[in-house]
Amino acid sequence: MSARLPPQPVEVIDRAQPLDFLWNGRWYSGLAGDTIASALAAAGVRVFSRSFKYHRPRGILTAGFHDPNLFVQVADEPNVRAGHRLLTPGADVAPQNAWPSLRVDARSANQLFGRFLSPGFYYKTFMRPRALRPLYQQTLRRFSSGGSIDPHTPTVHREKRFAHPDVLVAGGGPAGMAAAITAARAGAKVMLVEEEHGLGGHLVYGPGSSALDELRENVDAEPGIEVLTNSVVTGRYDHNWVAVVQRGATHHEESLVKARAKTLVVAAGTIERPYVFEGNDLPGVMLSTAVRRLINLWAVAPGTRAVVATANESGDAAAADLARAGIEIAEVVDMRRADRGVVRARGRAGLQAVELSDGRTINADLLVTAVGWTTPTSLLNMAGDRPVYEPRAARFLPAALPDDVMAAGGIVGDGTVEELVAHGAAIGIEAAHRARGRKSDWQRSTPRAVEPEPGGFAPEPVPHLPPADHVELFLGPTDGFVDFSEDVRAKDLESSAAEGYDSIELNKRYTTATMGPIQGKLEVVNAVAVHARATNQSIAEIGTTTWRPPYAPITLGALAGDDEDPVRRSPLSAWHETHGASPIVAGQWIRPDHYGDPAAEVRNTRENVGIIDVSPLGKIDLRGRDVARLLEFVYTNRWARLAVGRVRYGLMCAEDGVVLDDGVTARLGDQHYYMTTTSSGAGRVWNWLDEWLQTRFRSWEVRMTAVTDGYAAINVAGPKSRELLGRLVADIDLEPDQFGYMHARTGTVAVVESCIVLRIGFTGELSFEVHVPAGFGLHMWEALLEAGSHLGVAPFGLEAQRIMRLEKGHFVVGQDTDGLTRGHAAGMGWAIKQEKADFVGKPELAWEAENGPERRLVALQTIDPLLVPPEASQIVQGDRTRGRITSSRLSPTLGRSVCLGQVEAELAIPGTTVTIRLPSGDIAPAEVMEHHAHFDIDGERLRG
Amino acid sequence: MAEPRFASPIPAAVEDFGAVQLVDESTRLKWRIWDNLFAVELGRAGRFDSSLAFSVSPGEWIVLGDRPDGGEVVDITHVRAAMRLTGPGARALLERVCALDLSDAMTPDLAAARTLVAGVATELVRDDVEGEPSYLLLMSRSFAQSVHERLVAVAQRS
Repeated sequence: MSARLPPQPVEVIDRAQPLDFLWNGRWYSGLAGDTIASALAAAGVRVFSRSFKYHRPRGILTAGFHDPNLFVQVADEPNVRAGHRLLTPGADVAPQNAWPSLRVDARSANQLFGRFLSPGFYYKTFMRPRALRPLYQQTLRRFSSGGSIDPHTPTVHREKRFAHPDVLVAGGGPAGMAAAITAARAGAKVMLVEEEHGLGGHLVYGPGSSALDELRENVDAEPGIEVLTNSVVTGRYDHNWVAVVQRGATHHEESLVKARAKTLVVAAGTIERPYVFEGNDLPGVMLSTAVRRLINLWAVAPGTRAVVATANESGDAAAADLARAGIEIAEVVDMRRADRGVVRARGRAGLQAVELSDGRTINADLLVTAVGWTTPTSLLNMAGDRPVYEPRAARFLPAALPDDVMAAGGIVGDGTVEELVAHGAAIGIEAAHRARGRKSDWQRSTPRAVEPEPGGFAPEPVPHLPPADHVELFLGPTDGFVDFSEDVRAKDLESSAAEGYDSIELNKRYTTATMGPIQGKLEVVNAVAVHARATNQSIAEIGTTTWRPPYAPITLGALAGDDEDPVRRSPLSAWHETHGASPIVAGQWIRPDHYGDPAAEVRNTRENVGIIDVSPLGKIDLRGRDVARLLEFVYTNRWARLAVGRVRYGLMCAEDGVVLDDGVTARLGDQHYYMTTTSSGAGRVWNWLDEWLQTRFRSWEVRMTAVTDGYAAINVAGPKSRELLGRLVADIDLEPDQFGYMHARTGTVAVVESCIVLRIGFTGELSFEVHVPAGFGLHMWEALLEAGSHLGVAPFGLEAQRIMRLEKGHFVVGQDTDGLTRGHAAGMGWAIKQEKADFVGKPELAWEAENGPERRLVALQTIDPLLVPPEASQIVQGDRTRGRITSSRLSPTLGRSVCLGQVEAELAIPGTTVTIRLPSGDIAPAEVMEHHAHFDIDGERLRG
Repeated sequence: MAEPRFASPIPAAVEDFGAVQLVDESTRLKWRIWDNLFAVELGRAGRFDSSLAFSVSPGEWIVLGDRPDGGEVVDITHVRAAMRLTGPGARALLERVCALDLSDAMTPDLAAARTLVAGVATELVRDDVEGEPSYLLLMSRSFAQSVHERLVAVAQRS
């Protein structure tokens, strides 16, 4: 049965443009301009959803953005607001939270047990026995609300952008529009945000008004106003950082606008409040604003026979709208009179009759309530305001706002359209004035900005906009729903207060009232009223609950946006990608793990020569008179007498003696050093040095430049590395007596000038690390491959390097050490020089040396040579954990498994047999070795 | 041995999106100095013959162009990649990936700042070209491809 009325004066539908759509698997027809809810209501649909807990049938309550009963699934998008989302052709709309169907919901049996479903029921009931919790979880999930997500949903484009408006106006009603216009005319850059699809606020469903047309024209005429409709200000954060979710703009489905507003004007109007009585959630019980919207905007008859319970002009206007639309009005109940009232609404799948306080029962399928307003002060609360309850007006009002936040229009008070516009206009000018002052301050305090222009303007006084008197009406004589989203009744709040949750903040959390998707817009004042009655306090004494962001639920997609974590690529990454490298993400870097066979890469490097891209190594260029002092201080070993052209390994510990990083540093000139750090530790070491220099050693002359990205680093390793490099160098003598182990040279390699060559060796082989200006890295890599083709040169990846360093027993910071591993525990006593005057960690390391480390890093070899215990396997004794494997690999060189591990000190004695517990639960014995190195213990290959 | 060829980390020399052009300027010589040789204040940039000098942190300057004379000079040509966004759409594109207030009052021609662009630490210099808004972005070379890909993706969708 169609409920579509004949044309209405201000309707927004296009009767020439029918749109077909699916509801619950059946085809329906609506009109362009319809919301999903208005199209369904026009088609005679009364039940839109099932409620959260009791699975009661629910219909239209507000017919707008904040309707708790109109969440639907549209194709693969859950939780769509049918009262707000515009109908699109072919839309596949389905109800949520109804199983097996909307008409027959098996879980509505919940309401038979409703009196057992007290607050906290789930917490109290489904806790024991503990073993059944997974089953409870599985079953209860079926009972939970919300739509469903298809993991294969194609990606919808969502984006983020930043904005810096002078004035951001939240709310596009008469006051908001007026504020935007005057602010723009005063020279402010304005962002006007409206949650509906068009500007106008409550004027859109009133009789056509010239004021609305004029405001809209003036907004359009102002180039300084950016209008965002179908958008919601979801939060106000420190320093007016305002988040706006914008939907349906060009190029993207949804975007998150992060606006730094100089002044925020909150012109959110008022939201009509439901009345609490038995049956107040039956389909057919609606707010007066819902009725007015349905009739005037979409020409939908909300019912056929109405009872109107009105305590204000909105209810009176709804009655007039109904009469004009030819809908029978069975009774108008004047709620302003103490002797008149609604007792309960009756019906099963929808309203059938209304019981009145005078004892009469009136048959009706529509009950309109107009009992008062809630001021949506969320954004003001987020700015630190504590709104105050005004009993005369029966609503909360803004109290004390910070200088950069203002309130305009209905949220402040009531008035005619002209009075609201005048208030908004004055607030707009004041907002622009304050924004100008703030902008000038920022310009003066920001070195890059231009000087602020002199001049300005004097704001006008803001006219008083007092709230109209309104009778206090919250709770009827019977028990009804306070929170429609969470299915919380008045008696639930009362019983929870009786259980001891006698603060509204506790009560709200225990009952979850105001915590559903509507976030208190409809229910908070009623919840406070119930709590006040239950605890013998006044509403003013209790105040509102704390409103936090978001103002309205926000999709995870909008929060995620199209951000992608940036990744770092070495100058050689393109070569790796085209030469079969298997990539591995190491920190932010994408690195080649191997090129097919890491064991073969190890063998080739040990037998011939291999090259590895070690560009991600942290590199810091250090210059100045006091660099050596800095090195002495941050490293545990000695640096004062490092000669030019020499390289030294350094260990860095934090103040607690825990190993922070390690690497080699070369002295390239008298006052010029070149530090390398671990790849993952580069940023940390930079900050570490910078912090010391900026705090304790401010007078030291040290100039640091992070040059990690400035050099491609290629380690040329293997017995033939000297021969290979020899083919490419002109001005560097590579002979062992000229270029010994732990020496550094600068010069030309493969025609590239200004290369740094370090003779060091993480792999245990004779090796030269060539640091070449990054832009020539690829040239160098290809030159090495070409020059070494007859020497068997081949690239090796991170995995081969890990194997070779483990064969040599070199630890990796963060892999073999952890947040408790001090220098001696890592076996680095030889690099800790307690006799130095001072260095970071000295007292702690002295203490550790004196008392002996609790754990030690040791090399281990399993008795079964082919067994490789997975890293992090526990080392146990009886039922005690006494250590763990930190690194383990099968060594291609030795043909056996090799490990590093941390064990308690008494197990760290060479020759001790320890027990490794594998993840399978099996046990494997292993022997503690004398040296960390499993291979070439004396380092002859390295020094060759 | 062939002359070494400078390989830029940025995959395309020029990307033209109509309202905005994205040009790789990584080959420009770049220097870091600790003396105010160009008399440029913090947060500002200056054009000098073929050089551009700017300062985004106290007591430090970055110079693009010929090697500056005097004081300590560190070559950062290979440390930083550089790209330039020019055109009437440059600011809108940057506002998608950068939180800085790029209005003429806060970021006029020859303003310089260190900020995040697409999540990467970047030195941003407004260096207008023939009256057209133009932003020069310098970032660590290893991130450049990532930033470039993001800017291209955003520009293509806008």
